[in-house]
Amino acid sequence: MGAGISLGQRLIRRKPIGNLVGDAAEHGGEHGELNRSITLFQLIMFGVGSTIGTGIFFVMAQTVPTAGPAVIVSFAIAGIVAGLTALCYAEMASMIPVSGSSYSYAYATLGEGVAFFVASCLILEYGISAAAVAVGWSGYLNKVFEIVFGSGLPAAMTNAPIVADGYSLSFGGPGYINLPAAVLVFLCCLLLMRGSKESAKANAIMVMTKMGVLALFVVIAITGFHASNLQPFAPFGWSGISAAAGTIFFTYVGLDAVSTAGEEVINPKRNLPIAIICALVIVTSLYILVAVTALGVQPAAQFDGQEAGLATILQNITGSNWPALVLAGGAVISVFSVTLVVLYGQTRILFAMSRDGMIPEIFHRVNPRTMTPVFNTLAVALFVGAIAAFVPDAVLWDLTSMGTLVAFMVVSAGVMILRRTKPDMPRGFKVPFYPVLPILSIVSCMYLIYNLNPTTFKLFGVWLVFAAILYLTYSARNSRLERPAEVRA
Amino acid sequence: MKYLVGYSSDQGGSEALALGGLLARSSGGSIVVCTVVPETWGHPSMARVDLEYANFLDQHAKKVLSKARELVDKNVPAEFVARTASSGREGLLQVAADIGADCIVLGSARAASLGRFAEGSVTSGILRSASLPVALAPKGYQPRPQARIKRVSCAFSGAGDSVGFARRSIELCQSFNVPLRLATLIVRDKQMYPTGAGYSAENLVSNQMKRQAKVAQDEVIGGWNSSVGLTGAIGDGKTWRAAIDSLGWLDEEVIVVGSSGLGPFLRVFLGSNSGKIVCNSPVPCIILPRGGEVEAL
Repeated sequence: MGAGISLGQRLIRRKPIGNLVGDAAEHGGEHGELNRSITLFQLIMFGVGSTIGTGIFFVMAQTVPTAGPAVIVSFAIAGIVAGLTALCYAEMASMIPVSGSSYSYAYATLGEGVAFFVASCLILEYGISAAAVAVGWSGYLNKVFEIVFGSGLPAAMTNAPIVADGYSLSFGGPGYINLPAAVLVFLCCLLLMRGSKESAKANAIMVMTKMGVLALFVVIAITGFHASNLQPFAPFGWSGISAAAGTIFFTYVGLDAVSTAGEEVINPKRNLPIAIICALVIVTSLYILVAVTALGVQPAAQFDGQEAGLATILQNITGSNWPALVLAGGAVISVFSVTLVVLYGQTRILFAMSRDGMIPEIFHRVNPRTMTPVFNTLAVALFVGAIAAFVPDAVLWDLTSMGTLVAFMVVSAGVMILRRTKPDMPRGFKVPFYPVLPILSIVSCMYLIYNLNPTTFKLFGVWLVFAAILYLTYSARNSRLERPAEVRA
Repeated sequence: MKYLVGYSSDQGGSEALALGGLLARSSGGSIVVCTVVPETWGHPSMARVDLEYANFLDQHAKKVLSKARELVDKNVPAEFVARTASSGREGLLQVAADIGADCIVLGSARAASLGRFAEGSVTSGILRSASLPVALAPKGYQPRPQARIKRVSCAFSGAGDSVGFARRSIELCQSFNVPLRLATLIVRDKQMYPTGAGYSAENLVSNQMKRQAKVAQDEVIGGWNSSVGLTGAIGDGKTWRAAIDSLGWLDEEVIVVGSSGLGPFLRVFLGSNSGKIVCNSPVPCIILPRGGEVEAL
């Protein structure tokens, strides 16, 4: 039973690639045949689709007070960091012949300890960001209510009881619970339990909806543009810009969906970097356009605490409700789809972890009637729903950025380690400008992390301690690799 | 075993007749062929306006039944009845109750593709209210003459209560004197795009489900104490049809499907999964009413 294995050996043991392939095989057989089917255009659309919509609808209220109009620079910085990390991630993903999450890639290449650490960061990237997105969605839903019915929902049921004053948390404020956010999470999980999936086609429609409403915003907002609103450009200097870039990084979460496509892409050597860069350029341009026009419309001071910011800005410039209603409606629909996708990702990552014995077996029980992991989805709904209901979004964005940045930093470091330890392993894609690019990626991640606020560090620390306790008391002993005889079972 | 065949003088009717004949022959039972004609005004009316119509219906029913007589297998004891009722569903259920039928046999609507089944209006009514098993013949069903049922498959989801359901299929197997096969279907769901969990996350779930199904089947097979032989099979495919086809079917095989736990007690009621099986099965389906346990699917 692996009694003689030390903790150190446990931390570095790797999941055999054969297992990984078997787990994800098309027919549950020994070897899944590779099915390269994703074209460059589709891949770019996946990248754009999974990235836009998580943050741009909400992030301005959070970051303009930190950086002033210079938040535009923060968008560019965050975009570059996202691009660097996505390229590194793509190399690691291309070493494994099946598509998975960064957790499964880390498990197969860097060992169990790193994989578990990456997984705990991924829970921040997925679970926490789903909660954050749901909170932002609730703001836009409330906006729709305000426009359609004349008054929004009561503050007591649309705000979290915990308030973030700056970044220090305290109880109080007008709210008891953010009910719409929690309801959204539960509805999405209900759909997932019933087995509803958003198809590639639905994704394309959602991408168009999101880009459409953002284009509408830009076109209308540009009519109210006053260059004087951009002055003073950077009231808080570089520290403000960097801090905002750290928060903004989460708006690029989702770009990694391109990297994970790895082996399913036609000609990954050429198409992966093109797709990552194209998606990044499209997304960054759109973000910056939205940011510039929004900043041109109102003074930086007005952004603070503005809920459903983009819709409110449209209302203010046009003096009429319908453009704001269109935008808020578009946001409600497309952010809903983002929440669904993110929650889906979270349940499937937990599923994979549970299959590997990292978390209890019940997380990979599949309900034979619905053919979905019902308990897993319910657990995610409770966890994410509770966070969405009771924690304010300011903290959630930063935690998401933190988790994602740390996970990607590990991946970038992993790329360098693997070039040394496994130089002969075939790679479908190699990062250009090695070793400069991975080093830049690591350094830039560190830079953004360093600029996140202390509360985030504390919460992240608590989370890691919790994860470490879980690993030491449960996962290390129950790992599927503890039982070599059953590895192929 | 007494099989009540709902017969109309069309292709669906003769397919139902062929299935009824096969089932009766295999179980040493008999069939009752029933055609339902609309009710006319029962009470005397001025100038007897409805009489001509009633006569026409009577003639029609006779014609239909004489056609059925030609089609039916002469070695199977058969009765022929015509019943007037306000609807096909009501007529068939009344006759079933009167003669003490063990199973109602029906054909497919013509909308189905060849070899599959689609619900017509009568079937639809019966599938939601009958209190006895219902057998459905797919479109174009034509068993070989004098053939007998060779095997019964039972749709086995692997949920806690599907063991009880498998046991309920024993009686049917005993009446045909054939072995039982547990058939579990794994339908590979669409992969959701884009996702950070990778592009084969759904296969992970399906493969796990397959493992679970294997364990559940092995458990039932291990604890099986009936004289009826038992095997297990798992079908796997991207759609229900592909999953069902991947199981492999004998020419004379039937699949037994349970009623949804959402339906009323002791009645037939198709759930969403069993509905999919019924529509995609290349072999006739027998739907059992909801029994003491909640059914498998």
